[in-house]
Amino acid sequence: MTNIRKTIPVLALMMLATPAAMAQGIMGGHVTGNIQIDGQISHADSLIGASDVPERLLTNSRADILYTNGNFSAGLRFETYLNPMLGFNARYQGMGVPNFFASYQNDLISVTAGNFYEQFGSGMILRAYEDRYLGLDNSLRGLNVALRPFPGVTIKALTGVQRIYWNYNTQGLVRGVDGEVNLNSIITPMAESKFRMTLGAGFVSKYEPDEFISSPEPGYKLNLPLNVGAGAVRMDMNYGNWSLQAEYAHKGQDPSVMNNYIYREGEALMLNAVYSMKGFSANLQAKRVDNMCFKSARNESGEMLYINYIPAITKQHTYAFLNMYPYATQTTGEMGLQGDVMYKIKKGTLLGGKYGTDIHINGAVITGLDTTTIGGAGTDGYTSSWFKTGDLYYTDLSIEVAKKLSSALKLTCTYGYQIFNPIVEGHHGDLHHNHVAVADLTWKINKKNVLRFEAEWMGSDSKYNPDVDDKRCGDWIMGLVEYNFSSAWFISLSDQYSYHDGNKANYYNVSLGYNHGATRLQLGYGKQREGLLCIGGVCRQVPASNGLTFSLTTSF
Amino acid sequence: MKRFFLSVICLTLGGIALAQNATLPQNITLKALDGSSVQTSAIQNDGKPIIVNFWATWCKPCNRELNTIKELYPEWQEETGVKIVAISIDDARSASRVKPHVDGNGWEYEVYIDQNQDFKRAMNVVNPPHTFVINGKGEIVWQHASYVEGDEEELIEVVRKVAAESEK
Amino acid sequence: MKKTIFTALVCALVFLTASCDKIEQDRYTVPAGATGQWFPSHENIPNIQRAMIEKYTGVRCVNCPDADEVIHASLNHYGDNLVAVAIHSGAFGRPLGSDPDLRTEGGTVWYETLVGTSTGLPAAMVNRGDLFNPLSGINDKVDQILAYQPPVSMLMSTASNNGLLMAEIHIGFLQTISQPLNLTLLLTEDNILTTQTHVGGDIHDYAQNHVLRTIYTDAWGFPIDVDKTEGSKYFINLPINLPEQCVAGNCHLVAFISDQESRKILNVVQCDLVP
Repeated sequence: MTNIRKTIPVLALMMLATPAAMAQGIMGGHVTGNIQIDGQISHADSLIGASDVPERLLTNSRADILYTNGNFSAGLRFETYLNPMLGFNARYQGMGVPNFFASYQNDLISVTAGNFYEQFGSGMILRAYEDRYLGLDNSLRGLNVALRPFPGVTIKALTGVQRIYWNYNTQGLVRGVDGEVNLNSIITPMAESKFRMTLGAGFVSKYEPDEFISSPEPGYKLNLPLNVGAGAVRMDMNYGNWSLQAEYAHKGQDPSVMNNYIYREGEALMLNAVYSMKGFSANLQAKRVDNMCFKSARNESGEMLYINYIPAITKQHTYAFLNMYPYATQTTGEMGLQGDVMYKIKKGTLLGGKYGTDIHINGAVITGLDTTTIGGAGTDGYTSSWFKTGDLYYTDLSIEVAKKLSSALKLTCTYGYQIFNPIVEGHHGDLHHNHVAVADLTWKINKKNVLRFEAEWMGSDSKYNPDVDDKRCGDWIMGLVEYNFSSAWFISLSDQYSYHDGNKANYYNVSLGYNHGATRLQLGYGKQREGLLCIGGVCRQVPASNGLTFSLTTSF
Repeated sequence: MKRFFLSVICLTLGGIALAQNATLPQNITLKALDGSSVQTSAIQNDGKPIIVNFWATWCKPCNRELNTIKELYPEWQEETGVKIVAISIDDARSASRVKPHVDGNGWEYEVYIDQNQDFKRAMNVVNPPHTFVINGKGEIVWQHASYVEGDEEELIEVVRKVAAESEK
Repeated sequence: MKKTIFTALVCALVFLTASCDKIEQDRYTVPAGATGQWFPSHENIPNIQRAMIEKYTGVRCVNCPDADEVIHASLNHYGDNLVAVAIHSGAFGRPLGSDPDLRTEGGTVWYETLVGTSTGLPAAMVNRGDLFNPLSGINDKVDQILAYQPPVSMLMSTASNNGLLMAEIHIGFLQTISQPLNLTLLLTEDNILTTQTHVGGDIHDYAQNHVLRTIYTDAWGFPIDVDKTEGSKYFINLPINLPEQCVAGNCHLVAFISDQESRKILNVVQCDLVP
């Protein structure tokens, strides 16, 4: 509640300022923003495991208000969780203005005071970001400066503390510097070269005061590093159709609850090679992550206070069954390889037909590390082999063929195969082998009326076991019909059913939506399966729900 | 508390009244597909209209929209001189897939990556796809969130109007 | 412009070298200070809220003797309900002439974390609340704290066991507490004669009172890992040894319970080393 008290003067000031700006235009700036309101009414359903909601209605909402005037901008965000929707942390309960900032930007410098989001390279040592659907906000509150002294050179420096629900982790300071140079911009002979190269390096340090954490050895405690540093180097090379990105990160000793208080240093390597031309592209990605969990609080085991971000390299699927068993990045250690090919069969050929055919193939394999244990808390923990792989965590293969059959019909067929190790969700168990088939047909009846049909099937060797109660187990079928009309309305009906070896629950859904300009309203009624909601390899557990949902978003 | 909501409402109304002539932010850093940094001030089209589209590789409607427009783009360019700037909001997970995705789909748009989503926040984009039309003076004159087949008709109508105005 | 870049780079380099601690393998774990096992207590623990005044001082601090007067008056006024600990710290605490160094390892940890080396002395805190620098208004804070309903009660005594001196500390939960708590045990000594600088000129044979001599536990205490529901009572025995140079008859033991995260003190108890 203190949040509100503090920000009322700020709001009052803006309140006074806004009409003045409207009436007289003396401030000459613009106020823009966006609002999102989501709500849910859920009832108990024992078959799908939905529990009753005593407060009946749960809502999450937020409004971002942004003021810009030339190079100056300022903004604040109002959030309410009354009470938090199912799946969001109960610590969000309440309302207030958790984020605000003021910023000045010109060609040479950008300065932000207050809350900011930032990323060094791909984020392996620092990524302050938010994902409203995951209920994640790792924004830093402090000062962020970026200097662009010459074209092609950027130097960033920042210091701040991280948001944790309604508070800021003021005990854990995060400081960082990062530099990036585009060689083509600073080396004159390279200016017009086909060879493009960008180099970068960053360093991040966090400070936390000492605390008492007992060692397993009686009478001893851990001698904690108060400053933990992490550095990374990266490069991005392009030559004609080829490009290559590489990034390596290293982290100092950082005993924490996430790595069971071991003193082993962390490292991560990410490589990405691309060959692409019009109508064809291929890329190959490899990564190795070892003990790279980096948080601004040693004892925080939840989803908050991450300083860095290690992305999953598996494909982010959009079809429901391909997303049934998503992959969550194992920051403690994993190795992965991913390949992706897109090919367009030309128009007028045998396979291409009148409109051409798009083929998209993606495959990924993720394994654990091959480790040898040394000890527990207060030791180096383990050693690992650089090239040997450990247990299989995940395999994903998908083939998608998209073809326009006529000017009105477009068909997309997808086949997917996945091997899933429950250990990535923290449970021991047998590997699941899943086959998925999807057919997606879009029928553009005329300019104002579009119908879409989707049929999905999943065959799995997993069987529903009431003791474990994983409701994803078994074989599934799904059907969906979506009708868009007057380019503003849509209605969709769908049902998912675990017909064989599953717990035989129907997950039906009806939704109705309306779009107008930058406003979107959606109403839904139906059953939602419990499961992991994953975005970018970061996952959140969502409990089952049964009832009405609504969502309103608008930008202005 | 009442005062608080009042102020929010007030700001909202104020925003609507003022948003008419909001311009494109100038100094936000984006990544070009060759890995170099580009400022948003580089989004220019010699006084002709610009379509700024926020999309992501994993977003189905975005891909449908950009693939549909791909077929129409040469005609649109000829008719109105419009330029399409496609801003990918893919994060670290899929940003490396933007270039192969663009090439694989054969898109001829000017593509930038907004990995830290600074541009997305500055433009108040909630979900992709979100499309803006910018007139010759750099002012945001129209926006639309989401895409269904047929929306491109409305988009080009707006662009035609804007192009006609700027020629006057 | 070049100069700016150069400065930025130098700063970055300094930062790079300064912001990462490396701990040698044989120092991953270090002795934790006194800790022990909790047992259920059946003792009658008086339900009293006490306050601890932590005074950061030094023999080279010219305003500190005046602060001692303020604290002396407070102690006379509040009696046993106020416990004082004087922490000789930082540059102001460097000994004069051949006097003993009254600074301690644990005291330095507190000083650097709670006060900061850039703050002038004297500075004081009551139960780890706001920092008073100077001390004016501190009695209001003491009044405020003593008016609380104590969340925990404490009782302490010393006993000799086979020639080994032990502190027996009893704690009782007067309400259910969810946040993690720590227990800290320390030794103070009165009447240590040193030279003390003063605005009116150096004072010879100045009596330094309540001087922190050692912290038996870790500087921040050790976790009270018991079920902290209302009505439960526990006790613990911790070994005590008297540092050299200390006069047993002038020494007191001070034990306090603090919030592990905020470090705020919930309650405190003091007893003489020699009953």
